[in-house]
Amino acid sequence: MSEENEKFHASMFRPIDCSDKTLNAFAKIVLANGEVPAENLQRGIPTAEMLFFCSIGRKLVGVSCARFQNTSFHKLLFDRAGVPQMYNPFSVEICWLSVLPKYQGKGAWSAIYEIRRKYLKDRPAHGITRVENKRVADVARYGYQQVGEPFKLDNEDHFIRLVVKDHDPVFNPSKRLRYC
Amino acid sequence: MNNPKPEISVRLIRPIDCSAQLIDAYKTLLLAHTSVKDSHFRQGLAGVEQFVIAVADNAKLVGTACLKYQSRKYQQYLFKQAGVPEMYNPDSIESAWVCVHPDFRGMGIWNKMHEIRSSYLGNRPYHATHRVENHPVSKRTERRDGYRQAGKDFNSVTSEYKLRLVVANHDLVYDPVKKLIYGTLPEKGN
Repeated sequence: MSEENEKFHASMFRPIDCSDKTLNAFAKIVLANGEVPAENLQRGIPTAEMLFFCSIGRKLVGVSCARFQNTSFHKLLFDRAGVPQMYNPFSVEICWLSVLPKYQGKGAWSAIYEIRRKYLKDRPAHGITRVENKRVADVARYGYQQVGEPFKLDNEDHFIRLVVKDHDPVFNPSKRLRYC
Repeated sequence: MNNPKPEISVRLIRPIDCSAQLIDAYKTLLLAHTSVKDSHFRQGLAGVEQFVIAVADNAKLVGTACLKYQSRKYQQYLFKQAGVPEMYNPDSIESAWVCVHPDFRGMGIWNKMHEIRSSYLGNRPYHATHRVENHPVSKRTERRDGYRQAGKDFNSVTSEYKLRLVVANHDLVYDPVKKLIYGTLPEKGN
């Protein structure tokens, strides 16, 4: 069967349930798009909360991740965007969304989004994107909204914007993960 | 002259916020005073959601614990070995790596670590295993820490000792409709 006729299959695994080979394959997909330094992945992937995978047949073509950021950096993002009151320690960062160029625009992104949505449900999440990255301009389509103003991080040339989902306008410390 | 009682602070810290030195001190304390092996520690690190650390006088690490996800296969195996495979819950997190430095035992550190862990978890399901022969832990976990034994004592491929599985906030049969969501905890009694 040709790849064109095969459907994307999305799956998710905690790092503890992944072999080294799978973790390396995840990193390769992120590195293929060239925006993330390898050293960030080396520590970040094994400590992620959940890894999302998109395959076609047996070929891994896209990935994404939900993880907790370093607290200082997480707070810095909300400070720089001008919305420190929205900082929420329970918010996971959605990051390393990467689809191999050959498979972009064919539904891999949506397949990853759908499985991630089911996993996160109403949990608060956030992400950062480059303002110039038009491919991720329409965040509302995925339930996200921009908060605050675009900003630059130290030693970065480009503006980034902070997007969130299921964040209260002001963090409510009585809310947390609960089971029901 | 008696040494003054040290001031103990207990807190949660995510792995991403830990320095390499802290991880090293944690591992050193844990491996020196428990049966946790280096290979298990390295393997388990990938599943840690929160470390619990107790620090004396803002300087010395004297207590450890953690909340971590086990590999699904191993967690399933534990519930099967205990004879209660229907209680296996993929959302249940393991409470593990509890250790208090011998010089600091009897100072309430275990209680403080348990309180901060329980407060963080709220009504989330969690579980733990301990050696059956570890009588102080057996009495404590079931009488004071809110756990109850799941199934029967069992042998595991990972331990030469007989083990006991204890759980909290677990349904008798896993309900796949239930999930972790974000919100305000219900009032007690509701």
